[in-house]
Formats: sequence, structure tokens, C-alpha cells
Amino acid sequence: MLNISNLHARVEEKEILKGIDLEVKPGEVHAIMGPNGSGKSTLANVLAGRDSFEVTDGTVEFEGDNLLDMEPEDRACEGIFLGFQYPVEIAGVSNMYLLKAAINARRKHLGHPEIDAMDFLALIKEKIQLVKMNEAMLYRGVNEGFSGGEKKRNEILQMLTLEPKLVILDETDSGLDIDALKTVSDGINALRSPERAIVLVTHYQRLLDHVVPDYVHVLAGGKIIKSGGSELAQELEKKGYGWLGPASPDSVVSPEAVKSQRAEQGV
Amino acid sequence: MAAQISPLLDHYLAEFARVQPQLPGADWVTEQRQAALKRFVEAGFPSNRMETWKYSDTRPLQKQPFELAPESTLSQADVEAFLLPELDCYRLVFVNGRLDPALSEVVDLGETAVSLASALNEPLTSLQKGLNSTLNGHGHALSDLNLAFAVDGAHIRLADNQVLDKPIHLLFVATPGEKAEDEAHMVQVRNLIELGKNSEATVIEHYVGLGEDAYFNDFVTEIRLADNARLKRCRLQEETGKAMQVGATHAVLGRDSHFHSHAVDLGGRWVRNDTVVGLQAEGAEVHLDGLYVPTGRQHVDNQTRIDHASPHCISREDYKGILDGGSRGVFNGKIIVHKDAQKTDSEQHSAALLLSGKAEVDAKPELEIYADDVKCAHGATVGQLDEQAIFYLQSRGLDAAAARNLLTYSFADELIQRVGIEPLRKRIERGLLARLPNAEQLQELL
Ligand SMILES: Nc1ncnc2c1ncn2[C@@H]1O[C@H](COP(=O)(O)OP(=O)(O)O)[C@@H](O)[C@H]1O
Ligand SMILES: [Mg+2]
Repeated sequence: MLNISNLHARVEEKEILKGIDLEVKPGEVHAIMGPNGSGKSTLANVLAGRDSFEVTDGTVEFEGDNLLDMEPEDRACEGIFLGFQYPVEIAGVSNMYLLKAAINARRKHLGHPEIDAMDFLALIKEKIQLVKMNEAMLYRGVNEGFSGGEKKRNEILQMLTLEPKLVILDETDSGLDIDALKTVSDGINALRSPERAIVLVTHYQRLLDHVVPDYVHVLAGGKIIKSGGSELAQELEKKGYGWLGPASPDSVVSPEAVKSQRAEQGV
Repeated sequence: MAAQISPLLDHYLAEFARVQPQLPGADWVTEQRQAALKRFVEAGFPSNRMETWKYSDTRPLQKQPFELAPESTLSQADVEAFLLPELDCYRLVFVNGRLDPALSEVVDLGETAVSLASALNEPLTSLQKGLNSTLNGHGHALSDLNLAFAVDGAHIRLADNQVLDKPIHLLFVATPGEKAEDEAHMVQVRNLIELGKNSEATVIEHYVGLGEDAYFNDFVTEIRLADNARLKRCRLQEETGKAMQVGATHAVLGRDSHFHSHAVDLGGRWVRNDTVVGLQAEGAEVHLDGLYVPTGRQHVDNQTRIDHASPHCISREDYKGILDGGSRGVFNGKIIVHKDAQKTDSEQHSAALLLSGKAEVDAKPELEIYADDVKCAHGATVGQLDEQAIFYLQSRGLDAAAARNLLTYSFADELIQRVGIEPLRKRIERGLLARLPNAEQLQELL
């Protein structure tokens, strides 16, 4: 489904991704872990089409098409969904409006008519229960005044409503309390299916206890320095990223640093 | 004097002599007019060497000599597009500044709202004290020009304890009418709103134009609120593309009175508005909201001045600009906290969104504080649409143009919501969307 080969990307003059290779097949769940600043969000954003990152080398194919040639909205309409590490607040534009606009943008792209108003309501009512959000939040501005956890639930609600083929979740688990983590994990698991692929960008193990990945990759210094099964995540949890040794001079991270990072994130 | 004045100012002297017989007013009014004309001629058009005119060059107003727009009649159909059909309201329609009773709906309004012209014709009225009394030296030459030539306007007068059941929609339509090719018209409107103690009213001042010719709309609205009175006033400016507008609002607030002003500038080629508020007695409160949305070559200048002249008064100010094309915006928010105005509570925000690299804005707060126990906050921001937010919306499938429109709408939303009057709010939203490229899909938001 997704085929990344030798991907290099930079922002301004700084090279951040330094040759990423990754293949994701339908039905698979991949976890990408790594220390702060290693390029995880950059990778997620490049896949979704953020143009402030410049791809300098390599290729990305999505279902056989050259993904890098596509506008972000076309990628979305083709079935790629990015759950943001920091979802944006948009006052005065209700969640409902955005959900409907997003659904209809995709339907238009696929040559389908706009969604029927009643069907839309029924769909949202069903999905909102899965993420345990208050219905009143649907009528508030997009993420407007939402807490960190509410924003992440809202990302999951959008994901569930849009039913993408490829889901990329960037630290959707950070800043969540135990209950919210459970809800978010259930939401992700609800979407797991043989035709769909999921890439979880995460900083630490606990999400992966709920959503068990098929593969775990460690990204450090802009490269994947190790790949393995779900047991790799547990090993990392025990030993810290320092255990893997420096992949490049700027990716040296001591277990202490990892610990303090985690402390910051309230883990 | 006559020897030194320019041909242009000479024109206004001659124009006054020409139209004076048709201007309303008893002798005392004529005297005021002549004095105002004299002040205008002495001062001349404001120059941008003057601090408050620094960014607004009045040369466009001096390119041609304006003649007072003649009487003209319009049909219901001519003004249909400007009515607020869903709004249950009283309506006074002024054509080229003069009340048109046939187009107005004033049944049941009685003496509450009348034509200023008819009031001015009374030999002795309370107006003698009221007219031009709110300016307190803060007017400018073009407000004097207005006093000299004012043909009419609304005189709204609420008795003590009178609460108006419906908003009053004042619709001012400029029309070329029968006009010679080389003539350019000026419309001179004067409004006076006087609210008695504990009274309450909502007034919509709506400025529009017909045709494509350039014209000059020069208006003054005077507001006087007695103790505990409440006024909500919305000024919606939808002049035509070549129109020039100079408007001045002067409000004097009594004890515990409350004035909420919503000013929206959508149209016009060259627009200047002064809003001057005097918090003259304890506990008075003013809210000034402003939204300006120039595009193309439009120029919009909003100057506000709030005098905290008494203790325990509150002022809130929120101005936002959305500037596209090669447009130019100016906002100056002057707040003066006088020596005795202890416990003043004042907040001012201005924000401007530049949609194009060629648009320009000069927005600044200007605070003068002479009391020591006060709370004053202010902030001014100028920026572009947030790229991160655009990307967020694109990543949900919206194309870049739709994303930009949605965020622009979002920027203005809070201000527009505060207008509160549903049909008016919708009209403003439609007006805003009409200025954005391909915003049809946003109609659903309204
Ligand atoms: N817009 C940007 N401008 C400059 N540097 C950036 C920008 N975005 C990310 N970076 C830098 O790129 C590196 C990788 O960032 P990121 O992909 O966010 O890491 P991660 O998500 O793994 O924590 C960091 O050093 C970060 O400071
Ligand atoms: Mg990140």
C-alpha cells in the first residue's frame, strides 16, 4: 500500500530525514518510535503533503501512485489520514461543518453525490459514541477551547468518520489519561481491518499495549535504525533508546534523556 | 480672506450660496451652518501632515468639486436589495440624504424617530442645544462641511424609560439620479440619537449606493445617552465601488449608560470613519467592535477615540481587518484616561489579517493615562493565515482555497456573532463571503 524508499527531506537548510525505507502492506500496523527530534513528525507530515518540508531525494508510492506529486487534499481524498500531534483550533467553524466538508470533499473526489443530511447525522451519532465525546462538542468550533485529550479524541472521531485506507497517527497517545488512552486505542482497533493500514508514531510503549503492532521501527537521526516485532517496543521500554547506540552524531540519546522526556509527557 | 482661498474651497462657498434656500432649518440653524462653513473654509481639507490624517490622504476628495446631491425618488424595487426582509423593524429610508416617507415604515413610531429636517424647521426646539453639541472640539473640517450642508437625517428621541420594541433600520441610499456627466455629488446626512433615562434602543445605520459613479458621502451621527440608557448601534457600510465616505460618530455617555457599537466596512473606494466616545459620568460603558474588509484598491481608515473622563467607566474595543488585493487599512485606537478617571477599566484589541502580499495596514493603539488607579490593556497583531491551519484543513480533504476561506471566515466570526441581530448578521456574513474567492461552498455555514 505504502512504499517509502530512500526518503530524504529537509526544512529550510536542515536535513531531517536522511534515507527512510519502509513498506506498509494492507492490514498491517506499524509503530514508529524514537527520541524527540528524530524526525517522526516530519515523516508523518511529508506523507500527508505538508509543503514546508522539502523532499530532496527518494520516492513514496501509495497504491502504486507517486504520492509526492499529489496535493495534500488529494492524498486525503485518496484515503490517507493524518492524526496531528498538535491539532489546530478553528474558531467559528463547527466540528460538524468540518466533518461534513471532509466527507463531501472525498465523495466529490470519488464522483459520488454529497452525503444525505440524515445519513450524515446518523453516522456522526454512531461514531461519537465510540470516542465518548459529548454531542455538544460537535457544535463547537473545531478544537476551540478543547483540552489536549479532547483534541485527540476529536482526531479519532474524524478518523472514524472518514474511514481512511491509511491512517497515520502522530503521538495521538501523548497527553492522554488512562481512560482517554483506552478510548483512543479502542477507536484505532475498531478501524483495524485487512484492507487498512495503520502507522502509529509514538514516543513510548503504553499505546502499543492496547494496539499491538505487527512491526516496530526505531527512527533516530532521520533514519530507521532498527526494525522488529512488537517485542522491540518492550525492549526499548526497558533499555531506552540509548541501548541502540548512536545512529548518527545528533541522535545520541541517553536512557536518562528518554526518562526525562517521558516525565515531561506525564508518563 | 476671499483672496487667499483656493478655487476648490471657493466652490463650496458658491455651492452653499446656491443650495442654501433649499436647506432646512430656522434662523438659528442657518447661523450654525454659516459658522460651520466658515470653519471649514478656514481649515480646508484635512492634510496628512495632521497626526490623525497621516495615513489618509484626502486628495481623492479634492479631485473634483462636489455638488450637493439633488432630491431623487426611488421605487421599492430600487431599494429591495438593501432591506432586511427577515427583520421585524422600523425603517427610515433616506434617498440622497432626504427621508423618503413612501419607502419608510414608521407607523407606530410616532415622535420617536422623525426626519431631522422637520425638527430643524421648528423655530425653537431642544435641538438648538443638541445639534453639534457632542463634538466637543473633536470634530474635523469635514464634519463642519456636513453641518453646513446637512439636508436631513434621522432624529431619534426616546423618552425616559422608553424601551423600543424593535430595531430601527436607517437605510441611506445614494443615487446618481438625473445627473450631468461631469457632475459629482456629495450626500450630507446628519443623525441625532438622544436616549432618555433608562431607555433602550437598537439602531442600524446602513449606507449603500446605486449606480457606478463616484460620490462623496459625508455623514455625522451624534449620540447622547442619559443615565442608564442603552444603545446598540450597527453601522454597515456597503457603498459602491467608487464611493468615498467620511463618517463621524460622536457619542456622549451619561451615568451607567451603555453603548455598543458594531461598525462594518465592506464597500467604498476611500473610507474614513471617526468614532469618538466621551465617558462623561460614572459607570458608563462602551463597546466598540469594528470589522473592515477592503480588497482591490480600497482604503479604509478607522479612527477611534475614547475619553475616560469619569471614574468607574468601562471601555472595550475590538477591531479586525481582513485585507486583500492592494488594499490599505488604518486603525488608530486612542484612549485617554483623564486625571479623575480612577478605576477605569479599558481593553483594546486590534488584529489584521493580510490575505495578499500587496495589502497594507497601519494599526496602532494610542494610550494617554493621567490617572493612577486604572486597568488598561491593549494589543495589536498583524498577520497572515496560519499555514499549519491551512494544512490541517487540506489534510481533511478541503482544497487550499476552501481552507483559506474557512480560516478567513473564522477570523471574523466572533465579531460578527456579536452583532446578534440575525438577519443583519447573515447579511454581513454574506457580504464577507462575497469578497472571498470561490466561497460559495461556505454559504452552508451561515
Ligand atoms: N518547521 C521547522 N523548522 C525548523 N526545524 C524544524 C521544523 N520542524 C521540525 N524541525 C526540526 O526537525 C527535527 C525533527 O523534528 P520532528 O520531526 O518534529 O521530530 P519528532 O516528531 O521525532 O520529535 C527537529 O530537530 C526539529 O527541531
Ligand atoms: Mg513529533
